Amino acid sequence: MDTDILKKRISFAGKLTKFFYNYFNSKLDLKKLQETYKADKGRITRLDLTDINVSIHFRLKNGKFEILKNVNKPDNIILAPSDMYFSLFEKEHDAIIQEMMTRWRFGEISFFGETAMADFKLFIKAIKDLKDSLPKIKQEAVLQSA
Amino acid sequence: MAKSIMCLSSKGGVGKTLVGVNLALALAKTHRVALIDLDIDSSNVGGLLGLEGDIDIDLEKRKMIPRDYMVGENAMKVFAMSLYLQKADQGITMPDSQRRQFIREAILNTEYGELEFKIFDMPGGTSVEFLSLATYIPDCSAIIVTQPNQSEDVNRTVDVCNHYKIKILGIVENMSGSWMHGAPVMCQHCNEEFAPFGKNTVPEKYPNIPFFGRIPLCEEIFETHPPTIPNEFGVLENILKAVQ
Repeated sequence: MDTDILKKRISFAGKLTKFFYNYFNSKLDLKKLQETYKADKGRITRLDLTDINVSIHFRLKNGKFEILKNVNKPDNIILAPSDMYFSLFEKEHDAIIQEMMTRWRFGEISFFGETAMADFKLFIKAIKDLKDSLPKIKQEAVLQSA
Repeated sequence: MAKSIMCLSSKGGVGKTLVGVNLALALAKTHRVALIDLDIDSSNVGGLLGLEGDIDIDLEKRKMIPRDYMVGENAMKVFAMSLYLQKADQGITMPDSQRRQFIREAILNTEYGELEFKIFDMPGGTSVEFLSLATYIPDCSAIIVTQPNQSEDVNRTVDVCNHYKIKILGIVENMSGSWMHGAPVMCQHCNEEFAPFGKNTVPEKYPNIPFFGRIPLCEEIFETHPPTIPNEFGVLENILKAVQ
């Protein structure tokens, strides 16, 4: 990948993560989400954006979406291309589900961990439940907000 | 501890699912059974049983919950990729690492409850799905399903089982001869049974492996849902004797 494009993508990944951090913590009832899905263990997920070599660690804990640094052993690992991370939330909830399932079937995203397949299924259910609360964002909006 | 049995062949399209589904259904009449479809790319078990819908999740245990298929009053547990996807006709080109993850959770992170038998329907071939199963359940045994005159494929399957110390319970020869209206289909010219693929080629080549019998080409098998191997062939009876 061209160095300038790589730098821009890495920069955008950071801005998008910051956007998600602000949006999830201000607009979503994460406490209710945690209760609904019994996601109360504070389990840590590492998202590896494989094409730009960026890793993001996050978790839901005490009703907050947290971004973490210096995590040695995440509970789950997701391997995904950055374009999916960038574009996923431009879509309606059913299109998000379809894209994630399709990319998983075709090996473009992968999930690893003790309960990764069960967690992926729960994530899909959560997207269904959150259908009206999910951000439908354009990349320009993320850049402007950052 | 549940007995684990895989229906195996190094070749696809020989009837592993037919044998696996019939064995699981026969056992489920009197035992606690799970039928686990590890044929990730061509997951047919859910469709053959007429199961639709979604795998659920136990939120407390973070485990997948298989679907129930009622056999008399017994609920046979069924797990398959088609049930995870909710659709049976979607293509899959998954890397081996993700196949291993899926199989690991199908075996170790699915809430089957107390079982007496786990029957695994395997894909054609003996690579990642077989390796994963042999890793997670090393005492799993195998029923080899083949067609007549496929000795190279049987040799390969036997070789793999021997290498991984998988006990071979026996061999089934499917599509062996032909059958219609309760009798063999006879050739009008030579008065021999019509056998486009051959018949009974297994026993003499593998005298040290139990032969469970042959299943002829037979329309009646597919006249029922799920497809049923007629009792008169004696195959299921022989397998049941060996596994119980």
